[in-house]
Amino acid sequence: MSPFEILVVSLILTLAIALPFVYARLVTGGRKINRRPLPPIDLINSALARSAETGQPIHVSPGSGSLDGSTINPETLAGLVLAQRITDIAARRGAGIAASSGDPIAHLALRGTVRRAYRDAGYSEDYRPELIQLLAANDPIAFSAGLSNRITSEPMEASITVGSFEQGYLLFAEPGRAHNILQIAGTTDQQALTAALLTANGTLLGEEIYAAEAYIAPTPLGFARILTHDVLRSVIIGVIILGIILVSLGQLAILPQDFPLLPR
Amino acid sequence: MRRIDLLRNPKRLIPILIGSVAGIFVLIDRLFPGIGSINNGSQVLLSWATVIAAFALIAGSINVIIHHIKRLTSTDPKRWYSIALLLGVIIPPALAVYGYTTQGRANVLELGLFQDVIRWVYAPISISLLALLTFFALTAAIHAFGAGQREAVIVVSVALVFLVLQLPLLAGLPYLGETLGWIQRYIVMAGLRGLIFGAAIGAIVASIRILLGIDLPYLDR
Repeated sequence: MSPFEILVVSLILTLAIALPFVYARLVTGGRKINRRPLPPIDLINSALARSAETGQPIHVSPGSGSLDGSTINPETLAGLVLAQRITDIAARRGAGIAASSGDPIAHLALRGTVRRAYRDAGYSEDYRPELIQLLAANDPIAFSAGLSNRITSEPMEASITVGSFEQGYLLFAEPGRAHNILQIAGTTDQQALTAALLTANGTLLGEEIYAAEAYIAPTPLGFARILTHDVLRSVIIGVIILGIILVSLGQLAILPQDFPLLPR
Repeated sequence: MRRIDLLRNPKRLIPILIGSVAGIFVLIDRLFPGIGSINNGSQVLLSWATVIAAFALIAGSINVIIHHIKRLTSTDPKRWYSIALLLGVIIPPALAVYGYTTQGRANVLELGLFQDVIRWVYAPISISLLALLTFFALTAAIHAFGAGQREAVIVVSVALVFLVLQLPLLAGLPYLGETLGWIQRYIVMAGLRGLIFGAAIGAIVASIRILLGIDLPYLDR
């Protein structure tokens, strides 16, 4: 890596590690945070409330992204963290949870999350392991086909599919829409996002999937995470502008070609 | 409070420590690949992970086979689907053993019989599922447009305009191709890169929280 790249990576990592703790302290100390509204979160909250009344479970899925070795998918991690928050609330309110995953490790994490949530809420007997299903192993199309069958054959109050989804998203989302199931989607994949905008009742776009958990279960660290996103975004914009200036100065021969901060 | 709970509960603390230390070690290796000792340590950790994953795969496969054999003997009306699943679990390893014993090939993907199964069974099923997407996309677009959802109307309208403008009949219009190219290169690409940057920042913060043990979506204790 060039010195410029090392500088940028070090800056981003330092800020990403330090800022959440700094902001968490500020929020705990009483600093007010203005969050822009995320309508899909209101849909999730109302679905959780209805699920406790109707007895029909809320379906959550982090998608088919892998959590295996060096191919860890961060969207799947975001989906798992959101599933954890939703499950905690559902277990406390007496709502049911069904879950689907397309990766064996994500499946085990989901099972653990749901079991722990019901145990912590004091309703261990309500945990139903048969509702936590592994539909495929790292095959997005097979996963989507399995989820399509599940959505059309099992009763559910809402389906929250936030995580790693690809072009096969429509395979389960369109049948879900046809069956009038409330759907909340979220991903960073452009093809799946387009499909989600057409079929879902609420869509979390791109980075919103990482912020959603702080909206569902507001904690100082969750807020700190949103504020850290904002700061890092500003830093990256600054780095891009700095890079443009440096490269331009290099091309105009104002800076020497071996200037250490010039990207190689 | 949570911190004290963790310190008192070694069942939670030890996996978090192992996960965090290993994760930070591999992260440093990826960022600064020139450091020899860290690189060696990272490779050892990754190879351990591979071995653990291989054993987990064997254990998981045995569990799946036992579960579906039990299901076949039950009165579940959908039990016959288990036959397809069992065939899917058993055939690839059986082919691999056959290929290794008869042809000495350890890689099942190089085996002609396995390639035939992929070509004549898996590929047609996958392609037909993907073909379904065309109809699903059409019905989803019509429904969303009819329902008047704001974002959906924008998506469908832009898609329609671009489809029409790329028709061969309109290809001869002056400046049209250049204008479409300019929109795709700058406006569309800018939007996509914004999406990627936002997602990357979110991924960095989420990953660091997991590495530091703040979020524990993987823990079952």
